[in-house]
Formats: sequence, C-alpha cells, structure tokens
Amino acid sequence: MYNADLAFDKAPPLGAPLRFFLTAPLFGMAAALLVLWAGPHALATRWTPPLLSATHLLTLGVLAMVMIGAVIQMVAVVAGSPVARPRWVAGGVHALLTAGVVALGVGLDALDRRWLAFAMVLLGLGVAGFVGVVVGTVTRAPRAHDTVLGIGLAVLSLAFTAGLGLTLAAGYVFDSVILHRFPLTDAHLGWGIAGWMGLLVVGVAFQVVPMFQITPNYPDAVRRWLVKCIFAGLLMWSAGDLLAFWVAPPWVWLQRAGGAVLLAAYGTFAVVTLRLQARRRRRLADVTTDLWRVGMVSLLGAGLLWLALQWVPALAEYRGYPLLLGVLLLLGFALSVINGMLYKIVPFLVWFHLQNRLLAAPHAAALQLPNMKQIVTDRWARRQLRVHVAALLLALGAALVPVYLTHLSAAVLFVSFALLLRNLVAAALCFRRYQRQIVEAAAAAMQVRTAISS
Amino acid sequence: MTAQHPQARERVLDVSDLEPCEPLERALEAVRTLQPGEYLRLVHRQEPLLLYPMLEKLGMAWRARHAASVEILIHRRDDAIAGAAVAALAGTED
Repeated sequence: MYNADLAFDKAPPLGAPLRFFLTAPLFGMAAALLVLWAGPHALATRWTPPLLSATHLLTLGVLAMVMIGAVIQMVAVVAGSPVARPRWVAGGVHALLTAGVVALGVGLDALDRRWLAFAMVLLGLGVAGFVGVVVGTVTRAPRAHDTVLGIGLAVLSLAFTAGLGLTLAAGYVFDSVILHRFPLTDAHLGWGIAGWMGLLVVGVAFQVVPMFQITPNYPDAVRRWLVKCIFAGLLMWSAGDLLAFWVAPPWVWLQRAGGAVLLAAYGTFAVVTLRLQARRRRRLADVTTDLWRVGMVSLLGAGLLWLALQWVPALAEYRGYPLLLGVLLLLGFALSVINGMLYKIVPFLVWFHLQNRLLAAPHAAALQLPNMKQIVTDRWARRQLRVHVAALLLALGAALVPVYLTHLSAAVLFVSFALLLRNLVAAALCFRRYQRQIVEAAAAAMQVRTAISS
Repeated sequence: MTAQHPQARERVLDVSDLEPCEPLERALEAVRTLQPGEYLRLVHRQEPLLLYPMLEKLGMAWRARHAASVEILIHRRDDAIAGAAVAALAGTED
C-alpha cells in the first residue's frame, strides 16, 4: 500500500529547516548594505575585498544557508531515511554556519587574518558536520533514485568547494602557505556553482517542478543522465584546469571538453524546464514559476556569455566579464530559483505541520486551516518578485557601468531581501497563530467533554 | 452503486489539476464526510504520499491503482461494505 519514492513521515520538525530560511535574507541584506557602503569601487575588479565579502555573504549566507536547510528537510523525505537527532543537527550546523559566515564576511572585507582563521574553523566544522550527516543518511537510504543521487553528488561538490575555500583562506592566514591562486579559485568557483548549487537545483527540480508547478515529469533520459553528465563534465573541467596549469598547457583541451559537457547539460536543463513550464496543466500566474523562468533564462544567458568567450578570447581581459557571469549565475540563476522554491517549501511545510497537529488533536477537527496562498499571499510574493527582477537587471547594469548603478542596484537588492524576510516571517507567525488555535480548540473541547461526563 | 456490491456507493474526486496543498485538503474534507457503504475514488496526477499517514490517523484504508493517472480508493477501515467493493475493484483492475 505504501509503495513510494517519498516518505513524508520521516520529515524533521518545522524549526529544523525554518531557522535556515529565516536567517538567509538577513545575510542578503548585509551583502547589499556592504556594496552600498563601498560604492562603485567594490566592482572595480572581481578581487576587491568588499565584493569578495559580499559574494560570500550571498553564496554561503543566503544560497548555501537555504540549500542546507532544505537538504536537511528533504534528504530524510526523499531517501526515506530519517536524519538522526534533527534538532541538534540543524541547531549545530546553523549556529556554526551563521557565525562562520559573519567571521568570513568581516575577514574578507577587512582582510583580517584572525577573523579569517576563526571563519575557517567555524565553517570547516559546520560543513563537515552537514556533509557527514547527509552522507550517513544517504548511505542508509533504502532506495536510491535520481534526486538522491543529485543530492549526494551536490553535497560531495560542497565538500570539494569548502576544501578549496579553506585552502585559499589558509593562503591569507598563514605566511608559510604559498598558493597558485588562479587555478584554485577557478576550481573553487566551478565546484561551488556548477557542482553544489547546480546539481542540487537539478536533482531537486526532478521532484519539485512537476509537483509544485503542475508540469509533466522530466523525460526519463534527462532524469537518468543529466546529473551524471554534469558531475563527469565538472571532473573533466577541473582536472583539465589543474593539469594545464601544473603539468602542460595542452591539457587545456580536457578543460574545454568538460566545459562543453557542462554547457550542453545545463543548457538542456534550462530548455527542458522552460518547455515543461510552457506545458503546465493550469495556466494560472504563479510567482515560483516566474522566478524559475528568470532563473532558467539567466542560466542560458550565462551559457551564451561563456560561449562568447570561446569565440572572442579577448573578453577575458574585460573587467566586466566575470562580474556579468557572476551576476547571471548567482543572482539570476541560483538566487531566483531558491527564492522561488522558498515560496513553495515554506508555506507547504507550515501547512503540513499544522495539518499533522490538527490530526493529532481530533477534538479540534472543526478548525479551518489556512491554505498555502493564505500563508504567503500572492500579492506580497509578486511584489518581491518584481523588486528581485529590478535588482537583477540593475546589477547587470552595475557590472557594466559601476559608477552609475552600484548604489541603486545594491539598494534595490536590499529591499528585495527585506521583502523576502517579511514574507517568510509572515509564514512563521501564521504557523504560531494556528498552532495556538489548535491547542486552544482541543483544550476547550476537552473541557466540554469533562463537563458532560461529570 | 457498483455492479458487484450493490449496497456500496462511489464518490469521485478529481484533483489532478490542483496545486499543493489543495489535493490533500479536498481529499481530507471528502473522507471525513464518507457515509456508511461509501468509498472515495480520488484521481490525482501522482501518488499523494503525504496523504497516507493522514488517512491512517483518520481510521481509513486505501488501495492505489496506477494508470495514466493515479486512483486511490479510500474507505473507512471499519466499513465492510465499502471495503469489499474497493477490494473487488482493486483486485479486478490492478
């Protein structure tokens, strides 16, 4: 009777993922404020301290924060294997990650060794703890399907990204560590964006796009091969990059071949997702679907930009090129998709936990629970979507002409994160309100029963 | 009414085009009002896995049938008439 790919009865308590989701917009606001404070000088190159700091506040403080919270929630459900002690795991990883991101943000902005060393310890422990828990859960999983593979390889990529990041930070902290920064930074970026973020988005999309956006399923061939192709492409790209630098330049062919595999795989993902969305069964306006469209178009844009570099190598010398690519991949692709998912995951979890509490309190059964659209209203979500798109367009402009648009784009990005925080807090307050009503209704019903029986 | 079990009655609820969490809400509303001898034929685009533990808590039993869409036949666990009709349907069409 219970023959299925997902096991929701293994889900951890609401507080486990919610603490990550509520923290993320705060780091987004901090990143925007940092760029606002530093001004156009922050975008002079990709290596300025305020930009390095803001980028890590965004990638670790916002994107990884949400993704780690979502994985702690999802891995138990999709793998059918519960995370041991979810409150402790979530609390510990969240505390280490939050403190580590603050330390890293300060350390990179001020290029301060003590803060960077502090960040290395906190983030190293936090990421290691998270990776250990996920690996333990996935290896105990009674079934391994495409999403479990996607999550497993994404988390492995996070471990590589963190290892490379710690090595790069060690180069700042210890004089004795001499590094070749460029190939290591490329590998750090590649595994972070195309590995950790991209693989997780792809793996999770197989489940959540058909479920929440009411599209047909992804084609079987895409589900079976895409995650494996991306991981293989990333290995080739990374190995080629390192071999070309340390062994012999001709190895660059391997890096190019890996890049072509990644381009084809992510291009396929973006096009297939857009086509599935075009075949939605219900054509009602939906904020998450729109945010995913922005994400897929940005991913295609980044692919075209990378392709342009292969035809016009001189682009690599242009200051704005890495900034444009970074804005498209981080704000345009990863942030849009994650922002969109939050508008489904959070209301769904609130509803799911309320419904289970209601079922556990049969005397309160008459209570009408809110639906997902009442937990985060479309009006507020769409308002935030518009501001997010404006922030993305302005950030693209700022990458090209920092002097005119840096302040404005950072200010609009701040407003976008503030609105996201407002919407998520509204959902959390809704949960608390209805949870209290369930308890009160059950207590009132018990009083009536006691009065009648006595 | 069904051919093999004339006392049993079927109620049909198609939630295939609804967004989460509406299919679950509608299904829970419907099963709470099942009358003696009545079962619910729930039509969905995918297996509603989240629903099953909830049905269990509500004292329901169910059988799932997979075709182009998924059908879940739900009845009260203590309703012998509806249970027999569901078993016959699931047995003949599985």
